[in-house]
Formats: sequence, C-alpha cells, structure tokens
Amino acid sequence: MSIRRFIEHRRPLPDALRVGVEQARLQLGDAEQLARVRAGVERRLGGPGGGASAPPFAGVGGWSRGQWLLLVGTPMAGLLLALWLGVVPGATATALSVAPGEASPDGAQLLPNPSYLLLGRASQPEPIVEAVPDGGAPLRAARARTEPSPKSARTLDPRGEIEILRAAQAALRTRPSTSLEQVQEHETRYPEGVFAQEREVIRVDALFALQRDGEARERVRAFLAQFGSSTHAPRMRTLLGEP
Amino acid sequence: MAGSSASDRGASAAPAGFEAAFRDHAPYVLRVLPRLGVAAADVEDVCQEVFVVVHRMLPTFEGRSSLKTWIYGIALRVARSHRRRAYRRREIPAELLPEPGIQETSSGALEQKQDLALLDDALASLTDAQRELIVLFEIEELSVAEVAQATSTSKFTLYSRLYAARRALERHVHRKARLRSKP
Repeated sequence: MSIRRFIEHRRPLPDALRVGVEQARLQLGDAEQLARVRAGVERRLGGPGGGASAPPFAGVGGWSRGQWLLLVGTPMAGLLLALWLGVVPGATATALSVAPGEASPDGAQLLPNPSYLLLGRASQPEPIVEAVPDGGAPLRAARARTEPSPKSARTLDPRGEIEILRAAQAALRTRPSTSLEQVQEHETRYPEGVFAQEREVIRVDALFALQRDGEARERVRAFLAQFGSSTHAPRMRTLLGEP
Repeated sequence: MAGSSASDRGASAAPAGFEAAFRDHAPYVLRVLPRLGVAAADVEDVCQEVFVVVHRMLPTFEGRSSLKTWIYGIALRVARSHRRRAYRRREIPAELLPEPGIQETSSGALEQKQDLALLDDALASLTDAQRELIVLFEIEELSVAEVAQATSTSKFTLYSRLYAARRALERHVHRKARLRSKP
C-alpha cells in the first residue's frame, strides 16, 4: 500500500470537499494572467523601465529575438527592396504605405504595408512581396502565405480548454458519459492543448465511473508512459495499485 | 507543476534557466496561491513576488529537491508573509472575495463555485501549517517527501499534522452540515 493510500485510508478527506479539490486542481493560471505576471516580474527585475540590471527573460522586454528581428528587419527589407526596384529597369515599387488588400489606382492588389507588423501583429501571415510592373502591363496580385507553419498550428486557447474541462469535471459525478464526451470534444479541438494531462485524468475518472476499468487502466498506463513525472502521476499510480 | 522539464533537473542563474522555471511553474503558483489564503485581487502581485525571489535565489539552488518543490516552498513563505501583511492591514480575507474565472452562467457553474467556496471555507478553518499541508498534498498532489521538503518539516511531523488537519476538516464539514440542517 502506498503512503498516500495509507494516509487516505486512515483518515480520508471528507467527501464534501473532494469535488472542490478536483475543481481547484483545474484552476491553473491562464495565458493572460501569466503575461501580466511576467511583465510585472520583468518590471521589478530590471526589464524595460525597471532598472539597470539584466532582464530576467531571454527576450528583450518580453519580445523574443525573432520578434525583434522581424520588427527591425521587415522595414529594412522593404527599404532594400525599394532601392533594388529603383535601379532595376522596368520595375517600380508601389504602395508600400497603403493598407493591405486595398486596390491601387491602377487596379493592382497592393503590397501589404509592413507597418502592420509594427502594431504587434507579427504573427499574421507574412505576405510575399512581388514587384509590380510599370506601364499598365497585366498586374499580378500580391499573394499571401496562408498555410500556417507546423509550429503555429498549435493554437493556444486556455480559456476554451478550461471551459470544456470544467464542464467535463462537473458532469463527472452524475453523468460520467457526458463527461467522457466533453473530454473527447476537448481532444478533438485541442489535440495539443495545455491541459492534456488534466483531460486524461478526467477521462480516467469517467471511465472508472462507467465501470470500464480495463480501458481506464490502459489509459492510466499510457498517461504514466507519457507524463511519468506529472503531479498527477502519483494519483494515477494509486489507481493501478502501484506504490 | 510541469513534470519533466529541463528546469526540474536543476537550474542555473542564467536568464534562460529562470525563463524555463517561470514557464513550467508559474501556472501552478497561480493555482496554489488562492488556496493558501491570498486574496484573488492580490494573486498576480504575490506570484510576481514569488518569481522575484526565485530569480534572486536561483543561483543558490543546489538541486537537493526538485525545482518544483523548491518553488512551492518559496510560494508558501511568500504567501505566509502576505497573509500576515494582509491581516495587519485588515484586508478582506480571500475567502470573502468572489472567485475569479468562474461565471455564474449556469447551474453547473454555480455548483462549482459552491464546491470551491466550501473548500476555501474549510481551508480557512485550519491553522496555517495544516492548510499548507492539505493544499500541497491534496490539491497539488505532491508526495509526502515533497511536502516535507517544501515545508521543511520531518515526515513524522507531517503525518501527524496531516491526520490532525483531516480531522479538523471533518469537524468543520460536520459543523457546517449541522448548521444547514437546523430550521
């Protein structure tokens, strides 16, 4: 018998509090909170405007090096392109200062304005800039790469995740099958979600509640294989009767 | 806290080590602080304090415990100190403030809120030491050894405190039930 189970056996936590404990476990800090805390830590430790010592985070002032490169590099690239187009016969750069998607006087789809990157929306699809031929020749529209890169395919939506998992947690006691459906919905919508571990914990509880013990145990083993040092792991091990 | 991460194996004073520690553990610090009696409005400030201490102390971290346990230990001490300051300022205790993040949009949400309020009410009835044990052991699911490290308590003391804390919680729950059943 594990120490945890021994303690629980000797004097278990009152049942009336168990649901509250499960809900408390789901209350992880969300992305907005984390961003605010991070900014506060940076301020206190000498990040931007916070003093002279080294900033606590690797990025400069909360921006990663990549973001800074994009911020500084994009206007520079635009400038170089404009200079290059200025010296290549038969081509000219147009409309660098016009909003993206707006039509130019000669009917061309205009090149996107790199200044929108300066507004902190650097994660928007990066448009491919093409030279617009001079003299009324057929104009090619500026294309935009819309396919997300594999890295950006993982969208963070902790609020959405929590909402589904809370519903799953709430249904666990009375309607475990609904809980299981919610968990499956979470998996479909957030296959790489931040709360994947919590999802699996609820799934296991739901499976046990539905008396699908074999499946539940398989899930526990898979969980332990994937998240062996998770804070949920000790509890999962006790479900398998392991120390 | 996040289980297997580079930061768990020990950290350096380099900003990169701190960043990993923040990324891996800040969500859990934000979770544990309200249960340790930090008012909802102060949770972010206190979490900042925790990580300012982590940043300062990281070079002295020797890896005798996991980084997770070490940060929980700091969170306990900062929360304790905050509670004392809040008491001196006679602020509204955390348990009287509305729980953030849970909107009463449905009966399910209301039920969740009631369950959490019941838990917070019960935790508030404990001594500080008992409360910390219950929070780390039950909510954060730390092992006995980890709780002992985070609270700088011997395992033997921890067992007896845990036993006493659970008995106190039982008494509190029964008392509440009796009060509710009275006409």
